Amino acid sequence: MDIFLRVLFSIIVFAVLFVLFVILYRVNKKTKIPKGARELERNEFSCSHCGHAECKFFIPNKEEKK
Amino acid sequence: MQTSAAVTFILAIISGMLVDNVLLSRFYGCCSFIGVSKKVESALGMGIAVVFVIIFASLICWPIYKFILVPLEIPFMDTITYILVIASLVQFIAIVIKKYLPKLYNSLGIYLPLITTNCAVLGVVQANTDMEYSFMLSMANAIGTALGFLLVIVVFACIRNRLESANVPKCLKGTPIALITASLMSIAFLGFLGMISI
Repeated sequence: MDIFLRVLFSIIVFAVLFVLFVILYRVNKKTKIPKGARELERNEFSCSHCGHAECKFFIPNKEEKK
Repeated sequence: MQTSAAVTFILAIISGMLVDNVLLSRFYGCCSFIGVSKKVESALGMGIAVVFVIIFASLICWPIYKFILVPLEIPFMDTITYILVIASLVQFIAIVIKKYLPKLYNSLGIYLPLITTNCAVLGVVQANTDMEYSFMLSMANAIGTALGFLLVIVVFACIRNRLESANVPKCLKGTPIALITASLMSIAFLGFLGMISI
């Protein structure tokens, strides 16, 4: 097969897959984590100030204080 | 004839899972193996995500190679094609996990998009075409490898969980003891060597 055609096919295959990837990437970026999910994370044994599980300045949650 | 094909399929799965384990004998995908094995739940989530990506990547990449790249005489495009297919699949999985398992999404963190660069996924897909496996054999290889990854990462996470409460010397706590454990697991899996040969 002509080298020109092979290069052309390579570009087409790459372009099609790249466009598919970009579409999925943009959809992923637009998808937001449902509300309440982060709150659930905070209520466990995590810092009530920053929400981090291994916070250096661990401030217990209200439930834990009780 | 059919029985022998079925036996070969099952043996290929067992071989990929135990004998030729992608993590412990070829050392592919060690990044996520060490990084996401602190909690059993995260390890299980990561393992299932990798199982999904490996199986679907093999399912998609084999026909692309056989029916598009080879007839168009551009087989040299295989690696770049596989990477794009895997990257797209990972984005798709990220959308699903973010939407339905947000807690798992938070715990996986950076390791979820990093499945794209997981050598285990690319290694399996590349091996399927390089070794000129048939479609069924390549699927068996993918299923076996994926289950092997899941098995090892979950077992390793369980061991690390128990090690946290163990009396480990201070200098070995954390990553050093995890690496020693991984090497001992690798030696243990050497016991399966020579069990099956396809």
